[in-house]
Amino acid sequence: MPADLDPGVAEHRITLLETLDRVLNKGVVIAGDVTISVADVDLIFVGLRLLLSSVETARGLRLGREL
Amino acid sequence: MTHESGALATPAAGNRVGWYVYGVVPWSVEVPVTTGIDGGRPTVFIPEGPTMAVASPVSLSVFDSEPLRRNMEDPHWLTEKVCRHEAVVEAMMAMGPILPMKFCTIFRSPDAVRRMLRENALGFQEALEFVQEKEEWGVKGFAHRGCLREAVLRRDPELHEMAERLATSARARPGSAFLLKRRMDDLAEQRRMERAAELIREAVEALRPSVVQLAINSPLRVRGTNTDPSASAVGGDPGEEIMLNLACLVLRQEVQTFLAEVQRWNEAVADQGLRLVASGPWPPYNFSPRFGSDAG
Repeated sequence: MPADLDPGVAEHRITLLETLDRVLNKGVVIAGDVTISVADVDLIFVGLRLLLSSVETARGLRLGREL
Repeated sequence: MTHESGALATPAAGNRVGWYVYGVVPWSVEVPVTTGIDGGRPTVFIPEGPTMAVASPVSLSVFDSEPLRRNMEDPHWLTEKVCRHEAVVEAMMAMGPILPMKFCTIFRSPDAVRRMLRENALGFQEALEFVQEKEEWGVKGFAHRGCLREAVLRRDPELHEMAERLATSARARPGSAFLLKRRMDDLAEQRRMERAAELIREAVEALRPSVVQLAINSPLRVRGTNTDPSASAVGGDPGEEIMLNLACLVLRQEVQTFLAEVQRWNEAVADQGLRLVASGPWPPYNFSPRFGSDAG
């Protein structure tokens, strides 16, 4: 990974991790046996591993949020 | 019928579908049809009373508990699906209020989705009213170790005095200078942490008046490492560490005021070693209800 990431990329990386944090960790939760259950995932760990290993994947799917 | 690519078309379990729900919206809202999480089947709407679920059918050969557990261990798969989930939610967010579901909230049938909407009807309605005309914004606080330490050394009288003593004793008594240096470093580290915590508290209080509700989340950190590369992994600069991870619910008409407040705060403490970075607007993930723990 280049040491001097341009600001656009840096912002995007924030956004990806924040996206992962929100989508995997937050949102409406329906508890009980009505839904197909997913084992609880250690998001923070998974999220960062993801972030470090798949910036390219995410770049292709960029969500268009720039700040 | 559909033109989806081959990934889901496994013969055995391929016909069994679950219903992936992305979010809940008011019944009256006009919603765009977008591509679902599997990249093929489009979203559908399942109305029940005053609300409706935005959903799409997904193959259980991919999304049932067991295959899902395996798939979620694949970072590329997970990243792609999370981004698709988010893309559907954001497409709807443009049309009106939405309560986004947690990733992979999947039901066995449309009837099960309707039942879920019915059983939580009041909660959904209240939550939808609450988030209406509001946006979620993220605010992260990055502390720069070096700058923070410098600022502390400048201000703290005790540290100042130690630095002066150190300067005079360095040549005369190297042994005691070494010990003094260590005591000074320890104290500077302690003061640096205290100052960072203080700045964080001040930042939260500065933003509070311009937000409807605040959620203080644990900073997104890398676990299992001794060093702290987390700041760069979440967008900080080298030498920074993430100290604050806020979610703010902001009235849409107040967003500019809120962002100006973030900027004003950054300018006010520019030489103190802490800076805030805002991101958004996000769907209200941090302000969506959790149902079922005490419901029947």
